[in-house]
Amino acid sequence: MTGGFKFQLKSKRLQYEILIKRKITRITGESAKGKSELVRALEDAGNLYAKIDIQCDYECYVLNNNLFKEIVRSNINRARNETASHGSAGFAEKLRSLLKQYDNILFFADESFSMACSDEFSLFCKFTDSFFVLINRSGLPNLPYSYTDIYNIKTSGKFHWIEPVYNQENFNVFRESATIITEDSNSGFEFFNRFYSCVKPAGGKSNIIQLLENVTGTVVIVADGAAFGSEIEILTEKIAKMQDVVLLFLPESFEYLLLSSGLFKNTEVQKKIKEPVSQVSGLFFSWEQFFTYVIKKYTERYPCCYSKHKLNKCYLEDCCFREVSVCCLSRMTDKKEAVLGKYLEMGDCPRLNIF
Amino acid sequence: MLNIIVGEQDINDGGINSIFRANYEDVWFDDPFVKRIVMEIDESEVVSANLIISPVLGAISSERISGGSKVLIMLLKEPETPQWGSSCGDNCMDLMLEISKLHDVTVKFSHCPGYFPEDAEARFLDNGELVFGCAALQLGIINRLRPGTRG
Repeated sequence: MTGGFKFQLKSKRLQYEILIKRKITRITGESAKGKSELVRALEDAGNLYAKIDIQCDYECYVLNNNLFKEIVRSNINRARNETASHGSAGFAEKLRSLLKQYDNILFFADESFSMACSDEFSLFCKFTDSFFVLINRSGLPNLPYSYTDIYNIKTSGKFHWIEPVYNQENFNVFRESATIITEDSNSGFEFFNRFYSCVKPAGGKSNIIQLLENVTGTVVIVADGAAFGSEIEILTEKIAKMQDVVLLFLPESFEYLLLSSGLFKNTEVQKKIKEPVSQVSGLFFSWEQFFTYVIKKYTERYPCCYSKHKLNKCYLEDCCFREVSVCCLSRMTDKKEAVLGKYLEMGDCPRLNIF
Repeated sequence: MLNIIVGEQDINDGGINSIFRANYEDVWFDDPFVKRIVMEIDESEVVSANLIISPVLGAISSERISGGSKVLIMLLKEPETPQWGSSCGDNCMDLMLEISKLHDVTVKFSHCPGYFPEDAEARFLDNGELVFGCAALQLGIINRLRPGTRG
């Protein structure tokens, strides 16, 4: 199941239109804008005589606590009981085989689905090839969803549509004259640490706020936008109250930065990153996972093979003089410029208007 | 006083529809404050508990009003029962604080609202911290959603 499809619901009194792009869409916003009415109408649509018309390429179901408890009992707990280690490939395989029956569905859940923050729901999302629309003001820290897929619902009479809360253009600028905070100490940290003098890893996206309190001066927070949805509201509220200038640089992921840099000349790779909406299946928990998969798969047979945990020097140093036929990278000297050039903003810049 | 608990949504949160359905009383909808809540949040006119005129949904019963309105009405009428504040959008916060000046109420937040009135006053129940104003309230919630921050 891939994104880029429309969901439309029409009844005598209500009309909704939502473009579904990624696996997880979160809808928030003010009260009485029709969020819960959407879920109610979907439940009513099961009765033909309600005359509620749903247009969607996929079946649409509403998740509730009772239904999900049964899913947990029959599938997730069963996989746990039958597998020795819950972090193992065997557990993943078992769970995937059990949850396959829930593939190719667009699931809706509002805040009354109180298991949205549970580990079990995270596993369900991860191991089904399905998409989810979650109506919830809670940040849902257990789920890796993009900050670009947080929406407010807008209404005019019977018509309802969604608008993104955060403008992606506000988070596409990288400033060099700054302390840099990265999410973790993996490949992204290695890259920035190579080229900049003050780079601090946060040890996880939920620790960024804590680290932010211990630095002064201008700061740039670099994080994977494709999985940053749970943190952005808290972070932007915090930043708005700080005296120092804090910028958020949120490309899809570090792997996306590399893939879109011009280092990779393969047209198949370029197609995947240019049109990810139609490329990323629901089996990828987030687009971050997808871009990691693409770069690893494409480079695995070459000297520049990519690893998230230890960045290959091919992405840090000037290109060597290997034969072109044994390397899949475009020969480039300045890797920093190649990766960050189009995002750089030099010198003083005004404080971001992040709303 | 607005007493605040902060934490991620758990199994008992988000059930305002069930809570309201099981507990509301028809006579509540004769209260001008309740009528005001429904008018300000849902833009709907209360005729009675069983007849509310919504500009979008038409004639509805009280069970179809928004979750935010239900939370506010429960805080007003049964203030001893804690409610999940993340059922409320930012447009509910003025009325929530107004209700908290009439009764001591307890609200749990699993998100940081984008707005509180500037004269807001609240107490965080984990340590008794008293805070004043929108920024202090928001920082108090952020600190507790992400433990380890000082604010």
